[in-house]
Amino acid sequence: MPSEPTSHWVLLALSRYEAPLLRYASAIVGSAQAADVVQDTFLRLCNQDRAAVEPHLRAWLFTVCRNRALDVRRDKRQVEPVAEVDEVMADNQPGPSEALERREAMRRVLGALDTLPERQREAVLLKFSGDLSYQEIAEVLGTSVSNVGFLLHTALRALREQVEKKDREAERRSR
Amino acid sequence: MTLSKDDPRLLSYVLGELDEAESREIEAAIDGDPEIRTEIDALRMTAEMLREGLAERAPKELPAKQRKVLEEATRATEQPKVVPLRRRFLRSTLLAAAAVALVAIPIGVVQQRRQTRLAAEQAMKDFATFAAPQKEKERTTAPHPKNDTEIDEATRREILKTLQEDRARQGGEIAARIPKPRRLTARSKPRADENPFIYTTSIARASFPLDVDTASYSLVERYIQEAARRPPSSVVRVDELVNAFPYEDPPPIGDAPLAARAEVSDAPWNRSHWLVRLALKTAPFDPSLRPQANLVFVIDTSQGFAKDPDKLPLLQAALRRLVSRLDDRDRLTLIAYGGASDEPHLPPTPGDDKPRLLDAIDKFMPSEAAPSGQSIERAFKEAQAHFVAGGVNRVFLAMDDHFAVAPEQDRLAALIREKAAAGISLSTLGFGPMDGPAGQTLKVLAEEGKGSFAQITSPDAARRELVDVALGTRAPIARDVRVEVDFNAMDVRSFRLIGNEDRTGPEREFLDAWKGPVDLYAGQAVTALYELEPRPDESGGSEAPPVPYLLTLRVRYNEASGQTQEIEVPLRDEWRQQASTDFYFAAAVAGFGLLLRDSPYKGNLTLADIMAMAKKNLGTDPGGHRARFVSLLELAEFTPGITPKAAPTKPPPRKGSLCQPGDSLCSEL
Repeated sequence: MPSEPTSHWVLLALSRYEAPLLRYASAIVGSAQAADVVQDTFLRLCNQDRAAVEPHLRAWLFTVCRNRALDVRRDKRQVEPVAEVDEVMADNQPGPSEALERREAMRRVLGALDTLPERQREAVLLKFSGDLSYQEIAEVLGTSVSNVGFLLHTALRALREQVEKKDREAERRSR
Repeated sequence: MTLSKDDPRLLSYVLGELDEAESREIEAAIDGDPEIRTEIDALRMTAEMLREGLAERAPKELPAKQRKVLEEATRATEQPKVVPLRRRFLRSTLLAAAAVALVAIPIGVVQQRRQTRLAAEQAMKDFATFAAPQKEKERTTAPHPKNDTEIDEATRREILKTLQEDRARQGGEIAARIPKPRRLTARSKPRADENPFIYTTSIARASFPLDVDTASYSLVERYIQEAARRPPSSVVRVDELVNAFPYEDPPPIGDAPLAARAEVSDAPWNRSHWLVRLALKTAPFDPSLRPQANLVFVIDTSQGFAKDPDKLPLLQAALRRLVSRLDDRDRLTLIAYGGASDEPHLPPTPGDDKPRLLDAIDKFMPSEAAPSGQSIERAFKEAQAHFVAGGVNRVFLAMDDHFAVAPEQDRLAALIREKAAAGISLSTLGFGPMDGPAGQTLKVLAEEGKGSFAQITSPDAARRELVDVALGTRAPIARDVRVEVDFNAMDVRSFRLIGNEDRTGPEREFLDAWKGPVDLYAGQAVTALYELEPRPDESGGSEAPPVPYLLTLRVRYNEASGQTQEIEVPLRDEWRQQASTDFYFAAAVAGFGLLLRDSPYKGNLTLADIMAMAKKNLGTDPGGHRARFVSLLELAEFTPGITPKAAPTKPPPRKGSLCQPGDSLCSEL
């Protein structure tokens, strides 16, 4: 049994990890259902023994969140496309045309994300929405650290190739 | 060693997964091979876009519904023996602490600076216990063991970095909410450029302003601590930063109300220049002379008042200062204007019960209840109950621009008049714009109450009205103070007043005091810094310098009795080795200001230099102001745009989206 009020560390973990978990879950099940997935994740955390979970808290949270999100997605039987970037982008970005270009580039990268093989896509999401280390990603995906490095490397190369291809197509069209 | 640009380690390097030796290898390759460098830049950019893109469409925090479910759940698993009230308090502070320190910066954070700081420290410790087992894991592989019962330096820096990055991601709106600097005194138009060096051959007598303001420092703090942004240079006023700190200059000797001091050493940002610190300090206030105080505050509790960082938080900060000055003879009462109950928020409490007083101040919550004149009547009742003969018996109304008592005004005015006649005065404090009817009403009420009306627009104003005026400690002890600085043209080629950009003009100011004399109060201090360019020794070193003075500081003032006095402080070149910790600390603060302003005079000063200098010169640091400055510097290090190191990690300006230089298709864009 935990020896102190559970609220303390769970709420601390909540404030620390709610944003990355929401980012991660949103990419799998869409932002509407992400909140429920994250809520379930933390509900599970409430019943855990702090001492057991804490040493690998982040990996634990993302593993649970991932399982929950995949369940939800399975029920929906469809992959939520990541590419629907909101029209409203952060307004503290550089001037209008630069921001526009940036938004366009971001849209392409995210669009390309959905063409990746499942494992690679998962590694990318864990890395860039959850900011997990290779070690943690390996724990979540049940693979080795070097394989994580390889997955990410391959994924990023593929993303860039996709984007460059689209760039060229756009270029050709505009001529 | 040659690296393929297709090596997976390049990505690992960008993502910070390599150990030091491997990183160095990659860095060597980057320096040696432009192709690798291009690859690294492209990887960085893709990584950044993924991060930003994924963050863009996701909610930043749980909606209230889910959060509530979680809070219920955590409550359910708590130990039953914890008393409910205390439990609620514990949870809310911890939640606030964690939220503040680690992820979100809620709008109301500013409200509770002091508490936040404590809470942030607590959260940091908590975070470290999270991180500790991680550390342990590393220790088994790392050659040097680390002490993980305490937060080690690396972990702490890592936490700070995460903290600041999180803030930076969310700080956009917060930065917009930080007010523009407001002045206590009317000043000429702000100038972006810095005061130039003046040749002593043309002007050798100067003066510096004595009506110092410190608003800039709190703004700089807010930009860095809350928004994780580099403060715009219009906000950074070096003189105000320097004067925001207390210094340990010796107080005046004997009955003299004023002391002056001059120090010199090498300028930290330019070793061939000298930096001069001139300081004025008045005698500290003698607390035994202070009349006993019985103060009652009626405080607006509307949402608008509580949430605006320029209203309730400002008042709370000043009240905390006030509490620090109170002792067991004093009574403080706080009443919510339109609180839900008739009971005072804080019943009359002796001034030495600090924990209770501070707690009540921090716990002021916005309420939906309609305000009523009852609160004011209640305030007078409490004031009457603890009336001190011969002391300060005063009711304060702290209201904003929505204040209105229209139907009851006549009745209230009559009550206030009656109480004023009986020795309980009423003062009003206006927060927000006071040019409308609210300001009028507050003014009228203060007149009826034989008190004063003050508009509170800055921490300084709040402190002055609540602490100095409220306690009756604000009586000038040196009137019509003027300063003159006479530079010795033989040794000093040119000089430059640091800061005060908007208060010096090209001509007249340097010849005479421009603003007229200023009154100084007990416990005040003024610091001015000059940078001097020494005249090169043309005698070939054979002759001793004919005049051993660099400058003479002259201060003229009238004593309370009307008698005119003059203090003359010479500053000798040979004292350059004896500068105090005050000197170096002020130099560090000024250096930070120059760095933030990107001043042309900053030389090659770095944040690390400033940090080292500040850390070494903390002095006794009563109140911990200097230690907080050091913490600010640490945060500044991780604030985007302040350290030059941050620049290259930004993606290079791009034309297309992911173009490689040399790509023929891209170059045509």
